[in-house]
Amino acid sequence: MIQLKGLEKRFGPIEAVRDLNADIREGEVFGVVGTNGAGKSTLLRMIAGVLKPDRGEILVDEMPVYENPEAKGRICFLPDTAWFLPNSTPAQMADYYRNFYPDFDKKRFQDLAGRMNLDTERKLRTFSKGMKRQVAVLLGICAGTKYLLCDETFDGLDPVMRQAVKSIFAVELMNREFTPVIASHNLRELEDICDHVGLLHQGGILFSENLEEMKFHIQKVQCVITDPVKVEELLRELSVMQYERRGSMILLVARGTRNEIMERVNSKQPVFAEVLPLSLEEIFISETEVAGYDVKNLLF
Amino acid sequence: MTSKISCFKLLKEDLKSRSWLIILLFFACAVLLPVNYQMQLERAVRVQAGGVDTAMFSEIINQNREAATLNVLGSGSSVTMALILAAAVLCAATGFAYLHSREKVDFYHSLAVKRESLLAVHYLGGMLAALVPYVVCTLIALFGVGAAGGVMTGTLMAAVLQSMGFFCLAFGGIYTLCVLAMLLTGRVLTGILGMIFLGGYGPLCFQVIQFMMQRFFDTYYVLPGSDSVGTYLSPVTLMIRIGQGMRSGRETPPLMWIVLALFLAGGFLLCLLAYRKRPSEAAENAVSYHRMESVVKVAVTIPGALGVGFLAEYSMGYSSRVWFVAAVLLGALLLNGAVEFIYSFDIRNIWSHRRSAGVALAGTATVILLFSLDPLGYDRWRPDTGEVEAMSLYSYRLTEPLAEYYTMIDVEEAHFLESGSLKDFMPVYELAVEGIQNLSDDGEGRTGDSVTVCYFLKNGGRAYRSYQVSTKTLDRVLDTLSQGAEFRGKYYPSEWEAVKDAEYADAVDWKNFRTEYQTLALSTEELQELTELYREETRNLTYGEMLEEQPVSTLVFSKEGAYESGQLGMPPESLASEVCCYLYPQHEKTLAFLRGHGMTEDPTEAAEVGSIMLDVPVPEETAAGEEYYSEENDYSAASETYLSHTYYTEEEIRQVLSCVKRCRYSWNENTGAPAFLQINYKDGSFGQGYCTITDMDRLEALMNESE
Repeated sequence: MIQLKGLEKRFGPIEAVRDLNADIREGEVFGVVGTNGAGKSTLLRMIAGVLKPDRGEILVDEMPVYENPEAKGRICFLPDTAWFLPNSTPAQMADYYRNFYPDFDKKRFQDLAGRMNLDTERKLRTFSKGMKRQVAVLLGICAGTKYLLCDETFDGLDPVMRQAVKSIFAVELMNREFTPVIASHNLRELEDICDHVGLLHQGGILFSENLEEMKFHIQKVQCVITDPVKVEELLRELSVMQYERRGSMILLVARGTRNEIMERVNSKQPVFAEVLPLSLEEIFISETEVAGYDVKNLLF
Repeated sequence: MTSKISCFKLLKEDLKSRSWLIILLFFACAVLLPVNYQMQLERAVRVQAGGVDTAMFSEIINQNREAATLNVLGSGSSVTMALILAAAVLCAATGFAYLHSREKVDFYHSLAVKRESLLAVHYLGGMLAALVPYVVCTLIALFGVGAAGGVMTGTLMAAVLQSMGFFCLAFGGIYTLCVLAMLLTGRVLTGILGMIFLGGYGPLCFQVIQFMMQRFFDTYYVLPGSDSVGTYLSPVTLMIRIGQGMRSGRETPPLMWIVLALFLAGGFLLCLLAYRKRPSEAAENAVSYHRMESVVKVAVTIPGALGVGFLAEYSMGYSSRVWFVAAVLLGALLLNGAVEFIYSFDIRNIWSHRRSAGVALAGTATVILLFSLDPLGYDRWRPDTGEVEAMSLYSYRLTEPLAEYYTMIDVEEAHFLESGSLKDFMPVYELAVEGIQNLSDDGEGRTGDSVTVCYFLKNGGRAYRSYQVSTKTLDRVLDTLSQGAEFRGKYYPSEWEAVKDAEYADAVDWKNFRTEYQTLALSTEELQELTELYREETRNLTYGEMLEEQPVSTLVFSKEGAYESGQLGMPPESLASEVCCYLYPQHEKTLAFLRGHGMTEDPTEAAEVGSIMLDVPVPEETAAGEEYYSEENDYSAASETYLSHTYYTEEEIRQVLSCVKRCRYSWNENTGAPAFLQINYKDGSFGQGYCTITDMDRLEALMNESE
């Protein structure tokens, strides 16, 4: 587990991370989402031991990570702009990584690269940006470390590749101790990969929740109730996060399981009622509005 | 699971990534060492030395080859020094450039390796990349070229190996400083500027301080040949000084070796500390530690601005306090802006940090004020007599009646000041008192004769000051001092090593203006007897007595010299060092000895002279001087000038010779310079010498007639 306790980090007058607390459990795919400048890269660099927090501590399997080779040996960090040896090929980079990650599986790397149609003997400088990202992800996965930190690595991957990487992650999760942490500014990209998502804004975590838990306990209902008194009763009985009326149509987002909420709605004799699918984005907007932030402008 | 990374693997990868540098350095070392050495050896045997026998020729060749060996492989080799410097910069820059790239910092600092290990790996990689090629190529030159060519002797081999060890140590010190510069900065450009800053700041600052002292303090003095404190402030200057010292045989203070080693060891510890504390986010910033920016800016601006002031004065060709201050302030503004531009690469930011700019300007102004006002009273300082153990002095007038001035090259003023301490120092102290009284408040123009004194203080310290005193006072003091045995024992040429250890003696007869030496064929015992006679009779002469007389002869003591580079093919005798000591009428026994051992006295007769040219100095006060120094002539005369006349007839020549008396060169503000005579003899020989005019009226008449 990675424990983040009271983290703070400044770059001159800019507060990149402030009072950040979170736990990243083993076996989960943890997503860190936030706008540009939210502090995602800074957070990942601190976890990787690249940056030293001004305050707080980071524990990797209960070991402080900064300048601790034993803790850092459990982490492979893939930054947003990967560095490759000048004039190297993916095969050469694999050999290079093997020096630094003794558990690096070169056979698996070759195998995965082949499946992704990446020529491991071709110069990396001739690769497109997306292809370079693919190589970086494969190097990270094949490094064999327990934790893999990916900083906007998936941004720029096409949907097919994203799906391929997701399935590779799933295989890794099944076969060994593997906990990827993925930072991105795109909620939709993380939605189908991550188990747990944290929203970072201006250096702090606004919201951190398990996706399934989130979706199970928040529902979006669309219904028509003619009696305004019963509408008021319904709004009182439910823990409403968002409410919107469009003519006679009522659209509300409320906390509770599907059965609980539908039971309440049906007790008001609606003309029409149905549960609508709720996207991660809508959940986040709802949750953060409750928290007092108007984050519509933060997400895109 | 954790991953354990082998430092050996890291080192191997580092060397692999820098293989191009290793190849480049191998190539450079190969060309500059064994290849260059072979070429120099071949050149050394191409000697044209006509008129020498086989044994002498062989000796010349051997000495040339030895000189070539030391020039290429020795510690004074400027080529090797340049190679060391370039290698240090390249190795540091390539080894630690990763710290200046965010992507590379992300990679390396996320590895399961401590920073100390990363530092050690890259540091060692750079050392190996430079030292292995250098050592290998030196050994190839030593054994493959030198020994195989039959040049090497045991002594020479030891000297080359010693030089190799020295250059390895020097590289270590300079390279460590370059690594520190890379750690303290965040961009390669500022890294290289940082290397220049760390390597040159100390010596340059010290030089600026010296210039300021010379500019503002009239009594400031630097002992010639002394090692400046600035030399100790950089491994680069230490390398140059120690290397040249080892080559020339000049003694190197052990402290220099210690300081050079400290640059290596202490520098590495600083690197360790700097890397531990270095924030990873410093990559691509100008300076790693934000707070250093202002400090560096102020540190660069103050001495840099003063340096600009000196450059301005140098280009103007004269000193002007107004222009100096103006140039300094302008320099401060420009340097402040330049440093800010280097930090941000944005011209709009050059005046952004006004507080530090203000500190820099204020600091510069304060330095100028401190030197101008001299609040500590540097010029007027004089220790109480109770604080003084002894004093020494030097003035050109001191040696004027003792020996010909050009021979003083071998007996430097430093020798007198360091070794000529006089416990009976009060006469010298009086010179200091007068010198301080003579200081002019406006700092303009110093008149009189210059004398330098050294105070040997009871607390073990020494202080040097330079004063202007009147010729009369100086001569009186020197005469007083020369009454004492202590002064004569330390200042008279009879006590100089060049006289005591002389291997040859020649004589010059002053009655004859010919400049050839009369070689005396003396055995070792006879030479010793001559030397003792001269020393004994000289000790009996006072300074005043010598001033009143003129020499009647010159006794030349000489010793064989050693070959220096560039003197290929020259016979050893031509490199002899010599001192030409005056003989006065009081040197009766010495003169008698010389006459008895081959010295002939052959006065110049008019009949043997083809032409005679007399240069007579024209004092400003004479009619001729007034005309010469007039506005029509555009005030073009120097402080002294000469009227030249050439005479061809025997009668004129006889008259001229009767109006002059040969003298030693002497100048003072009262008498000016002596006349100068040049003679072309009918037999093709040439003669010259200074002389006094014994009958000015007759000479003027002769000049007018000849016009």
